[in-house]
Amino acid sequence: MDPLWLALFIAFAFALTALLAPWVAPYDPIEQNLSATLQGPSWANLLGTDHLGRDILSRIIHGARPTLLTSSIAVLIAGSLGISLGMISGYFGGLADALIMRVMDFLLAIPAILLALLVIVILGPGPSSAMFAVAVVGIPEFARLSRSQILSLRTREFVLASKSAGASTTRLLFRVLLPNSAGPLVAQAIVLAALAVFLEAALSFLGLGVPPPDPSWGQMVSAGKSYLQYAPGYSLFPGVAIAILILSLDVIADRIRLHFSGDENSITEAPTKAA
Amino acid sequence: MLRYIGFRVLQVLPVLFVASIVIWGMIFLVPGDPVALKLGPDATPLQLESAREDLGLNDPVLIQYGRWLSGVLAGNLGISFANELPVSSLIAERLPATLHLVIGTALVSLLTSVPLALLGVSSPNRTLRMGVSAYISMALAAPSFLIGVLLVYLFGVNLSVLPTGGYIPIWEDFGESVRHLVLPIATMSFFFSGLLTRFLKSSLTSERAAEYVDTARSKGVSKRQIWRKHILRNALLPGITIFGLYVGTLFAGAVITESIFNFPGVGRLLLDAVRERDYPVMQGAILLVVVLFLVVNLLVDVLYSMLDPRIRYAK
Amino acid sequence: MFRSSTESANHVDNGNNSQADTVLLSADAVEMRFASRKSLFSRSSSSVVAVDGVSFTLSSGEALGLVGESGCGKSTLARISAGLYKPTSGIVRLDGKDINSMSRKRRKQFHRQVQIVFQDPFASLDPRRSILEIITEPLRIHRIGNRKSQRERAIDLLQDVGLDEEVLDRLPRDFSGGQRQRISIARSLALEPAVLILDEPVSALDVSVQAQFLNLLQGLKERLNVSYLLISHDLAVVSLVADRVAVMYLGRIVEVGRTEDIFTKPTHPYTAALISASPERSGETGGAKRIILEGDPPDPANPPSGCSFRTRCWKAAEKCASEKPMLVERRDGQASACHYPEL
Repeated sequence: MDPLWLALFIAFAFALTALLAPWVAPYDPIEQNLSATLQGPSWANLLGTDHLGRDILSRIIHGARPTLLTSSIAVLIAGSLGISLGMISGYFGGLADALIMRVMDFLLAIPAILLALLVIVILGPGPSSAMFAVAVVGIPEFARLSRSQILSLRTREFVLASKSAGASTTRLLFRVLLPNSAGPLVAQAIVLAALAVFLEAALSFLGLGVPPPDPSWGQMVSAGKSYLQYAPGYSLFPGVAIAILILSLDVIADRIRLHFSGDENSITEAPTKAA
Repeated sequence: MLRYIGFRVLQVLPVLFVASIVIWGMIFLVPGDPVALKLGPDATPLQLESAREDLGLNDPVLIQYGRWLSGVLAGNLGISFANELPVSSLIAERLPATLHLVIGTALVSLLTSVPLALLGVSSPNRTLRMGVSAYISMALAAPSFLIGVLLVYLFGVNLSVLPTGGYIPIWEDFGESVRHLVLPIATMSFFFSGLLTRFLKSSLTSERAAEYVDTARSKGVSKRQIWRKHILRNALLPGITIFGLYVGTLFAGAVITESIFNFPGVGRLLLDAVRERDYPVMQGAILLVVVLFLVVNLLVDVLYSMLDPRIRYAK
Repeated sequence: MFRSSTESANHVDNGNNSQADTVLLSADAVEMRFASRKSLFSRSSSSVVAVDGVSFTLSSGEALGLVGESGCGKSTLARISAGLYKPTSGIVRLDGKDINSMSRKRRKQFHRQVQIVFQDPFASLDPRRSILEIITEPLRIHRIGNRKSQRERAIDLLQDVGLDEEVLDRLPRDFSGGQRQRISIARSLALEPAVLILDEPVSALDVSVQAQFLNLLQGLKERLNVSYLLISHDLAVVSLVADRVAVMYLGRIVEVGRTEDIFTKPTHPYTAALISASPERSGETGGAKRIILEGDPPDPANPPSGCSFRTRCWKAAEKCASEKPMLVERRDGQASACHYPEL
């Protein structure tokens, strides 16, 4: 079976689970049960309980929410800001281009985690800071990508044709250039989503994301570290969930990129002297 | 050649300039007064004002930047908010530990990814090739903290074979040092070897398909020789650039790993700085990383241009 | 709309740029200088002059052909005339007004009156849009009509170019080069422009399709009374449609005049060489021998002094190196830039 379908299924299942968490989870994720702490998987608790007796499965299900929230909002912010900057840079060139690209180069020179930490230091820890941190990480690649797309498209004849019909700059940018650059940008959005899942989990793992008692996958992995010899599932189950989600997103992103890099060639088909 | 170096240096300067402004200026982005943050909520207005004078915060912005910049160029990265120690000495103190990790990871990844990439490209066994691809996918998807925790569970808790924390410099006690390094390095190497293997695989594949291979074959050169003399060399060369690109990532990965394994390195320093809102440490560390990244990439480019005759003669 | 629809197509035979006909589009000493790539480290003195002081006039209902080798600047001139590039010096005028100093509103009006069709049929249509959207885009930009009337107009335009209504909902990739060019023409006619600039419209098409296409152009010109600025490297193409022809070499116009005059009695050596190289027309020059030009075209970044053609001209003399020849009228309606013209 084509792994793409599995990946898509997983991604959708994840999103659905996150959205419907209160109805899907068997237990209340923050309800404690101190008489049944660190139990292994059983019929009562399919994935066991944590050190406060809370059901791990329910916490994983609810933990999908901050992950979904952070990655979607971060991708949205990074996408709109990054693509806009890239369009300005690519279309207008000159000083704006030089300035914007220098800043992007700088942002790209800092590894993702460090940049995220930098933003957290400024904004203070918390889920919304994590969102901004991931967004800042994602902006430069979007900017670079959309800029290079605009640069290669803006001298194409169909763009000039619209221009010669009197199209305004805004119209050219948003109705002509952007739709034709969509492919690689969509792929990049998925790539960023995968990175966002990782970063949010990493930040939570380091104690800088969603504060307890609300569940988040990274934080669960961190808390479970102390109880590895009693209930390894506490750390490992949420960790595996993260890995599976990231893997699925990676697969989807690869496929999209493949699809569009093939498509690109058809736009630049050399005139074959056909009738 | 000299011209190329000069040209590349010129390219780097604007980025460094922007970096310095952003890094220095970040303290103004923080909501709230930097002095109040430093002295805490109990400080009196008098204390705040005198602290402001001391730190020179009442001077015009340009002068503050100039002062900071000249300090940096002289090696002074500021004083930590948390413990009044110079940032540069704090970092210098922790650097060796992190370097153990980083260099170890680089070596291990290199040693594993070359044979893996070769297997993944040229092995006649299809399962093996698919296995390598699967390994790459998983290595890139699994978060390092999961790997770390998993390794701790398997080898530290269950089998109790290896220590799960602490650091001993390699020059003090080789054996013990290595024992303490195994798990952290393995954790970091997983991801990095995935990166490297993927890159080498694609590099090897494209070299193998290159025309000169057909030419050599038709001349009767043996497969082995072609591989050794041509394909390998041509494919490994761009691998150098990968190191340049990802040197920052190596240091960044150390943050998480050092947290899991209680390693007293720069990563832990950074984490503590984030938790305590210790800006000077943060600024110093980020600046160092950016400079390191740019310098390493520059060196890599120059090295690459020296090794690859095509670039040398292209001019 | 300024274009009078009652203007007859009579003056097609009279290729003379007579004062009685209204001049629609004109270029006045237009120059286009591109800075050379290396300008970051070297001095900016190395620039390429793509268009070197070109002037022309285009009257209503007239078809002006622009011929020359690739690289002579004709495409650049086309785009300048369509308002896509701003010339580094000189003025392009529509109805006597400088198009580059127009207000935004007037400029939009200008685009309604002057349209351009490009060479590459595979790159001139937005691959993501349906044919309907492509053809009606100019109408939507200028807010003409509603969805229904726009669709009807599109159907009419398609009919004009010989394509069927069912084409409307398909994508460009379903069509051949010739069909795409027709769609491009249909789009360019949507706004009922007075001037249609065609940049190598048939170069990417098979020879058999070219003839069909040129017939279409000729028919449209007569029916809709559009003026053409037709650019091509192929003399045969130009001779079929154009009333007047201008010959370009290295950014300058070296000869201009009525089509028949140019082809039967060329006065510039370059024109003569071009004609003799073209199999269809060489017979008309009274069986003149095939002229083969020596040497390669000079580097546009470093043109020869004086007459830029002198390095390949068999008549070149001292004067040609020292003095740049100006366009001088030789016969009625025919001018050339040469110190030793063939009269």
